[in-house]
Amino acid sequence: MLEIFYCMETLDKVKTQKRYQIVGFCGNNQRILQRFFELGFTKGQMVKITAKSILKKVCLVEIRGYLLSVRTELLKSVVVK
Amino acid sequence: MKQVLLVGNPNSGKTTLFNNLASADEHTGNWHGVTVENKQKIFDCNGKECKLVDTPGIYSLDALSYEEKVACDFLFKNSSSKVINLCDRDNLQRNLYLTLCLIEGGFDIVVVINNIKGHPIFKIDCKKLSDVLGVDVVNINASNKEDMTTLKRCLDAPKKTKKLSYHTSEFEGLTIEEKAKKRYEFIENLILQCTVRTSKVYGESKFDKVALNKWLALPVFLLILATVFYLTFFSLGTFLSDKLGLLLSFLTNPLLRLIENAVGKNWIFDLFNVAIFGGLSTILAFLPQVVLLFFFLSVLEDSGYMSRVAFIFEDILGQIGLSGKSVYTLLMGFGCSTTAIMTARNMDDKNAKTKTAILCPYMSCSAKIPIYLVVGGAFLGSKNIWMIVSLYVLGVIVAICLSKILDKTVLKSKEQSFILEFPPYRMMSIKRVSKVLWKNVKEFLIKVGSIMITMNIIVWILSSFSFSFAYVKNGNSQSMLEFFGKVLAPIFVPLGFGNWAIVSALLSGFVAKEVLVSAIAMFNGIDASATKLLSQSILSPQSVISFSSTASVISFLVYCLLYTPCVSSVSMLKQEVGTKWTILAVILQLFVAYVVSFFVYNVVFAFEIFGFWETLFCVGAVGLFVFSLCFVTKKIRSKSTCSGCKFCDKKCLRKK
Repeated sequence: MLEIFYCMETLDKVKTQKRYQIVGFCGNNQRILQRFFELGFTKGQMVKITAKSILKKVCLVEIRGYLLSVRTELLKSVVVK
Repeated sequence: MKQVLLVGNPNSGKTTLFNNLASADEHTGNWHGVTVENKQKIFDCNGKECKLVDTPGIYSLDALSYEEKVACDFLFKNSSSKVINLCDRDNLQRNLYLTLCLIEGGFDIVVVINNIKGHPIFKIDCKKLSDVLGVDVVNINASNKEDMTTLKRCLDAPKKTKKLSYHTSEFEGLTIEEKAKKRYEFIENLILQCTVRTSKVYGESKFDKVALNKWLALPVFLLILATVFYLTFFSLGTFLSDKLGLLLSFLTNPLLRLIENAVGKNWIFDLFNVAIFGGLSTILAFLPQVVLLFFFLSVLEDSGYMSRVAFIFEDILGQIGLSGKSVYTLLMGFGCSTTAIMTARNMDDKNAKTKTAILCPYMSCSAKIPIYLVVGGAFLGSKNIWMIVSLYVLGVIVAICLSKILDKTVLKSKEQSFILEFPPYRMMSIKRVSKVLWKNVKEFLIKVGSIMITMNIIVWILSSFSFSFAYVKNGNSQSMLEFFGKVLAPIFVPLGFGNWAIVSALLSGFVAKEVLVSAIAMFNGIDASATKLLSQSILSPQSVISFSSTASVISFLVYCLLYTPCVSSVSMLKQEVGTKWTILAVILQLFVAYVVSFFVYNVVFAFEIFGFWETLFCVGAVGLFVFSLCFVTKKIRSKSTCSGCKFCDKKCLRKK
């Protein structure tokens, strides 16, 4: 259990071009969480950061076979392992 | 009248289908959020008149942005209407999420799978999909005319109702997250049953490894832009402009000869020769640039590459209140402001568009090069190349500062959408590109052309007639422009060039920056095409155009860089951002040019008088003082306003 806890991190901090599994969501912004759910960010789903902008404020995320550009700060709400 | 609504995810091709089904001409594009308001048109549906409504893209029936609210409100108000739910074939999983929401909501829908040209990611069994969903499913190409008959047939079919297997009574009690999970599980099974996946990720391409690479993205983009720049403003563009110029001379010369024979070489002849045909030749000189710039822009945008550029530059340009798409317009401004301003129209954020258009003339356009060569060359000699480079850099710095100021004051940028779909690379269609070109060229020729000719005639009248309306030729009596030059000359004394001839030349530079050099040549009685001779003439003591020192020359060049651009640019600005912003932009340009020239003149003058290091020390000290003052003010302000709100992470962290 402890091992799993140490493996977890939020999506804004993960390496690019590496696949991660969504394990949960955090944060209070319901609007953003709702949009994430609608776009296919569900528990157990695999996700990958494909690229980052020059100042790393925007990330390109691959999920469910398509690409999304998302502000890095919002990816703090997505917990992955 | 029967109403049909077009609903779907952003960038799924709704407006393309709307244009095709109702023979409309609405703007389409390969990026997210082209449509921001509902659009309606009557169309013939199997012999009956129907109203077709195109709505902005939505992901579900819960609206989060303004555009989504427009679409959802309309959908709920017209819940009994037939709904065409357009789904992108290659991004089916996410598109079907909205389909499920619509079926759950009890809407009368027809699912249209948009079969976009190119290699498919999914092969779909529409019959099976229709059986499972319990609604009609058709697989068509939204831009294909023949496919519309199949679609129209489905629109007449009666409403089908089927309860989806997961949509039980317990479903309504679930949280949003659980509902989304259930829907996506259903879609995953549906896709396994009804489709065959043939290739990779939607929107992903091997070229992205280069286009989105943190080291290669910028060089690749600059290389592409340099090619566009070279083709538009130098090789192909100049060649076509020359040929059009020759064609115009061929057509107008007999007419001019006819006028000369009828009235002689008087003001009527000059009116036609200089003002009317001169204005026409200016428009025709710009025409190839407009065509080429819009051709390249539509290719870059439709292919999906501009979205990659916007992604890479969004956060850098966002710092100064511009959009990622501003890069194209601003860099093209180095070629010609007039045509570059026109390309700003494709930007989504209105304030960012206005800012980009206003800042574009600060990029030193190619028409200003002759001024730098003639005036700078005369006084600065071999050092002139560094002067020219500094002027280009200064233009960019001034534009950055102004953008930041405008963003903080009157033109605050709209907060960009937090999550945007990334469009795939697509081949542009020749039909679409030609449509975009025709639309822009038509607008340029009719709207901008008429303003350009009118302004040309006004400036010609000012430079050719005195106040008693006597025709002025070869400087025998004083023209209105010359009079204004003499009146305005004292204003420019603090800038180091309070000479009436220079001010008159600056006024005539309003027609076009090339005319400024011609005016200097005219005052000195030299042929404008002989650059070296012209430079030497400015140095001679008999020259009407005289500069007191190197400082005044540099100040003049800075003023030329920053002051109001030519008539054509102002006309274009009016067309793109409206009269109010154009007047403000012109006032801002005159003010900024004056202030910066004044500063530059005094600093360079101090260099000449007190020496380099002494002046540098003084300027550095003043700069440091101003910087410290700004820093302290910012610190005090941030402390006084932060009350530990939940929106500002940094300040709250600092408090903790």
